[in-house]
Amino acid sequence: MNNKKRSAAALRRIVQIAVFALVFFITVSKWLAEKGISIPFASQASLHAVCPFGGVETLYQLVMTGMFVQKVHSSSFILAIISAVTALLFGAVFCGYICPFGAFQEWIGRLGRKLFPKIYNRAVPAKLDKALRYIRYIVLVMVVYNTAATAKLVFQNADPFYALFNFFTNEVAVSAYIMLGVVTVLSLVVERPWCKYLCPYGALLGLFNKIRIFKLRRSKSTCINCKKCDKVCPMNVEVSGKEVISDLQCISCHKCTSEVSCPVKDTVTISVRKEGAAHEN
Amino acid sequence: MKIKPQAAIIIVIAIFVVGIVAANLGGIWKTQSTKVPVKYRDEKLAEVYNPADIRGSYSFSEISSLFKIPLKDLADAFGLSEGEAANFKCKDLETKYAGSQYEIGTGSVKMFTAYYLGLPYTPSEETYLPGAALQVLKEKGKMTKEQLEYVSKHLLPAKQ
Repeated sequence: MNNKKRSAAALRRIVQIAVFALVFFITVSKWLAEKGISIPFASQASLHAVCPFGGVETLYQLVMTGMFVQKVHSSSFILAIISAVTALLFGAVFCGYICPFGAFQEWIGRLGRKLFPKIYNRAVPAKLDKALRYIRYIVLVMVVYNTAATAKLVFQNADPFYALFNFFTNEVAVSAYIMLGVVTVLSLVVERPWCKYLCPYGALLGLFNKIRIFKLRRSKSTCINCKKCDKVCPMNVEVSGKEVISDLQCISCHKCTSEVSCPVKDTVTISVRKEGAAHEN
Repeated sequence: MKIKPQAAIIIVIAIFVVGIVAANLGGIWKTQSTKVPVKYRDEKLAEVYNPADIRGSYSFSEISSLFKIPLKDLADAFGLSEGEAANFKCKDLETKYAGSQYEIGTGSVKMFTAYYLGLPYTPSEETYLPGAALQVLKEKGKMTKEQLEYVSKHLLPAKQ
């Protein structure tokens, strides 16, 4: 990997670590504040206040009653809007760069890649994998419906993200700890299992891949069919078979791009229009 | 128009920062409860706080002050002494009543407050009150007939 490629990958890693650290700091400062110890300049925001999915969960309640669901605040709703704007521009980039739970799975996956190099990210049979990927849409519908029906954050009891960042508090349901354990173990053999199969927010953001303004494109004319893009894709999207990568599973991590992994310059790129399209028109 | 991944992520971060700063400056960025519940949308009750917006972080003294309910009545309804009740948060009810047959929590406080004041409130799920709450509501509250009927069927046994 040359220096330019390294810098693109490093920037992503820096963003992931920074967001992870920030979210962890937020939950610790909230926990300490409840114990009567306040950290100077730290807000007492809860994890729910900085999770954009809360903004999605509360949408029905907000429209119908003007109130947020319990534990959700306006910040979640604003973050949901901002995430939607970024998704409209670049697809599910929130998942690829910002989501600390996605980063956590990737970090566990690095260990898994070393422990199980032969089966890592190829352990689930293709047919089963394809079927399992529909589950996250069912989860999305169930969570939104049940939150609307009960005006409570029903998802919290199964949310491994909440369990990860609150493992030291007494606010985590046993079911959430179990889910976190399962996802952690699975991350050793499957890259981002939560994102692939269960994440309701990823399911929603993935829809933006169909209408995003800056699209991921593969140039057929310069592609050497080395399939490096397929190999590095954490979500197992077959980049080499497409000209526009609008797959619902794409998390816009940009690992497949010429700036990161693709060995040929200007072959997998992010652009508004296909190169030369202006001339064609 | 082509863009590099580095530029894309810088734009994304910039959108997040600008969005949050703008929301903050506009006074709409709230990460904690403001301790001021929303008011009813109904024109007749437009100036009345809606108990449905009570949060788990509200203390009983805050509820007492916002909704003009004597702290003693809240304390009696939920099995607390007046001294305990002042700083007692709604979400702490779940711990106090842990192991009960039915959950007593923030939803119970919402319902009690609404029914005490005779305000409209539809529980979003089956909501229960401690047995002692019924007595307080009967003596001091302004429950409608339907509300009384609901509470009577949704009480924890007296000892719990």
